[in-house]
Amino acid sequence: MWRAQLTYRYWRTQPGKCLGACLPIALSVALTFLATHLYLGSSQAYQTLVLQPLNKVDLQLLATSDEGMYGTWQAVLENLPNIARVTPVLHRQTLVLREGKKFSVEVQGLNTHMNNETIGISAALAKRLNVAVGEPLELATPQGLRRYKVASISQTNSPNDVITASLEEIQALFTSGERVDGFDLQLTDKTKRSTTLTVLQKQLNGLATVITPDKRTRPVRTVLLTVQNVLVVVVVLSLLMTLCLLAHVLETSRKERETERRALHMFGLSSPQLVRWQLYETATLVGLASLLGLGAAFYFTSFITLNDITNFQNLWTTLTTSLVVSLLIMIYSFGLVWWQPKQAITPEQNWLRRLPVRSWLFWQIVTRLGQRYWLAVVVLLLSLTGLTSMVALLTMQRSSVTAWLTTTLENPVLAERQLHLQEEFPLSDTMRWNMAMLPEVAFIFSGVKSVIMEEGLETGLYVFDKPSFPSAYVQSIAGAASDTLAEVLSSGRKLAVSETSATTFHLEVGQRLRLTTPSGQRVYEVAAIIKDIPGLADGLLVERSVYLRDWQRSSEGLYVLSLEESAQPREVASLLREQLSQQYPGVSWHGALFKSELERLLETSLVWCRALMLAFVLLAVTAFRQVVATNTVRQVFSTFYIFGSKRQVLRRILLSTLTLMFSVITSIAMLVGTGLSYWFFARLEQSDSTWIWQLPLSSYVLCIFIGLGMIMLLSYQLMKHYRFSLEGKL
Amino acid sequence: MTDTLRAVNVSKRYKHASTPVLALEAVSFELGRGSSTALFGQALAGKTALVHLLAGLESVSSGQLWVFDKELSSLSEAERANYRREVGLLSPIVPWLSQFSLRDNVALPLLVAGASRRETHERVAELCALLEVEDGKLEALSPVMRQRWGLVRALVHHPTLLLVDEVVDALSGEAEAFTETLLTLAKQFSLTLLFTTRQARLAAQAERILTLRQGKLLQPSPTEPTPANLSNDAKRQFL
Repeated sequence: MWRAQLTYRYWRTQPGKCLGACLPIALSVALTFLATHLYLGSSQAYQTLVLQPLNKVDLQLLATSDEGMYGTWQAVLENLPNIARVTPVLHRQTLVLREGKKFSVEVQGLNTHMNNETIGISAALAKRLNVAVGEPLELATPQGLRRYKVASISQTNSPNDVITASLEEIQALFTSGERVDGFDLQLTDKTKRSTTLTVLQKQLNGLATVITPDKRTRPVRTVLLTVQNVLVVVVVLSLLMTLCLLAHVLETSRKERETERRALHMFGLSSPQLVRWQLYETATLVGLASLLGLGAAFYFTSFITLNDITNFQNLWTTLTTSLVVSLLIMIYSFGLVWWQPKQAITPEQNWLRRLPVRSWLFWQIVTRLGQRYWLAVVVLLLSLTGLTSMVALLTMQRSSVTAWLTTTLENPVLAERQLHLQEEFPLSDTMRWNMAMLPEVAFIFSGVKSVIMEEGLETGLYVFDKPSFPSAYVQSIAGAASDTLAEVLSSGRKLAVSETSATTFHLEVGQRLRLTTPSGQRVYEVAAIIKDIPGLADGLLVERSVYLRDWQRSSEGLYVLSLEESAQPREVASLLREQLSQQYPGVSWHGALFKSELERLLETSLVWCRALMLAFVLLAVTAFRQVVATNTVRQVFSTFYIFGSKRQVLRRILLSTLTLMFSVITSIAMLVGTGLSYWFFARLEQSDSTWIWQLPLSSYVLCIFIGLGMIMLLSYQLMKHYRFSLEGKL
Repeated sequence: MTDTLRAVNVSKRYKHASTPVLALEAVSFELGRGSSTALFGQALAGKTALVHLLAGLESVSSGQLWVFDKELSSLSEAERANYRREVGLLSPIVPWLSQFSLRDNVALPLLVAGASRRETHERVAELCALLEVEDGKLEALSPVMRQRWGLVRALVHHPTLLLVDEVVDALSGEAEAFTETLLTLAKQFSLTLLFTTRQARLAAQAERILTLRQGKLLQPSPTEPTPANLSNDAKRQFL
């Protein structure tokens, strides 16, 4: 009881010192929490967003010869043990011409449903070329310029501008004979990858190099490791500053605490009791400061909902790391002061010299460091540098990620409310029905191999399962307005066409269409035109019963689930993955990025930057207070007084000198900070050096504004600190 | 439990540089519980050393010192600390803490004794009213007011023994009044009072006088009357 009361009374009478000790501790713990959280989150995001989409390719074979490998190797590879699927791969660099301009692109030959006159392009390229589905593009080939129609726009994981075309077409244009660059392999059992690797290398006998996914993700991993290392450095730096500032606060209060302890000793506290009280006080201070830090960290991360239930483990790890840092600070703080009660009671004995050598050395080092003004200046500079780095990073990241979001969201595949499941084999009726019946799922449709129309035109066929197709997606429909699409399409041979298909193939409601099906030519009637749903921008839609009757369940491969407004895409994906993985172990989601999550990711990084800015401001002010309290600065003031300057002149001189001095310091720090941010961000974005000039003017203004604000704040602190002494002497 | 404060051949040596200094030499005396005693002697007589021994701040070099039922030389550090909670000490060596207010300063002994906030607040208020102390900054107080506050601090934790060292002599014209206050309070709270002084007229106000000279206690004869029994003329003669 008396410990708590004494501690409370001391803190109440020394709020400045208490805050001076609390804030750095809270800052360190908060930064540790945030850094650990981001460290784990980024590792997990890397797993989910980078590695998993690549999981469909367990191994890649690349031909060692420039001429490539024969396509007949596919059959050989498929017969090897543990090989589930073999996909031939063909890449070529070429040029595409658009409105008289040339653009360098990578052409990929794939076994797709596309015919030899259509191509698919990546979303980034579509934006760059300003081209939409249905528009023509000219491709430079060894056979001359070839004109193709853009049939689809899709998101890829490759950083290059990519064009996809049918394998046969690319082989015919770019290779001699049926050659490919290599094969993408998917394994039946991923745990036996190393065994399969050995068999492959033996079989290939040097004909091709085997590449594992790790090599493909190296650039991303490099960036990720850079980010993580920076986080570790930030935490270590903040911890170092906290320890130095703590040492300073404890040292400056040593004399008055000695008197206090002497008095308490006289009032009836023994030396061990005083030491225990010291421990209690230290533990309480560090504990409360840590709670404050954790609370602030929780607040800043509270809106992050990217994590699913498995991140409970991350939270535990993050909390544990923060608590370990808190404990280290507590041990350190106690280590600085535990001997002081004894020194207070028997001042004639030099307890420092009686301490064990290591403790004595430890004490000497930390207190001398804490007393050194140059250290405080270094801390001040680092804080200002960190502050401006955060400001620069904030604006750079906002503009860059905004641009990336804009590009990404234009891609019709990465829609906000869809999940794409790609499998080469059809799901069972039960599984498909279960998925369709989920309340979160608005409707589900699956993609089939291309269907040939009249005149050899080829397009995609989609089959939808949900009984009620949302009427909002229907542009026009034959029959009564109250009829649903399902009712219309299930009566006879009817189909719906997307807007794009209607435009491309000049189709309208009521028109008849002849399609080649496995059971022969069949005539269909266009019963509806539906709006271009992402994933169904180009294709024909039939109802499942019609599909089963005429196409006999052939080659369903792509399943697209459109979700209701209220559904959380990630939660639905987790739920479905759990259900599907029981029957289909290799199932994975393609392009599982959602607008809401991307925006949340952006907000997270912005709040991070703001939090770090606040942290650095606090550190700068605390370090500055340490600087002005040192003897060196006091001597400067005394020198001015000795010359006998009048009060007004003195103040003007001091203010001007200080302003100039700190302007220089702040400017240097800002330049360094901005430079560091630019270097770091350029590495992250792998962009060239010119983009920094594209930053909005507001970012530079913000930097200058903050710099001026800091100068004014620091100057005010200095003048306030010495006003009494000046007035007293003059 | 005994009712006396007894010293038996108490000696105290200090190591000053390489030369030991004998502050007290074979001092023996006995005081009753609730008595008021003046410890009289000039500078370097050993008064402060004896007060420190009685306050539990230092330990005897030889001999035995009994304060009622406690033999101080046999106490461990924790026991000695507990003993100090029963002693009220008014002395310049007890520091005032500038970071605390006056009320917080005087409340410290009671907090150390484990009292609650309410008890502390009430006790401090009671003593402040009794001693008619004025609030303010410590450095702005008059010497008498400062000592009154010191007295509040010495009495706040219900001590059984009140020791006053190097206080009354510094008060000049207010010394007699202050001494009278001490005696009144000692009677009121049934305290055993021991105060040091270099002024014989102040010492004469006490019931008993112990005279120290160069670390030795000057023993009065058994028949020699104590100041309380003397007539005014006899007192004047003694003085």
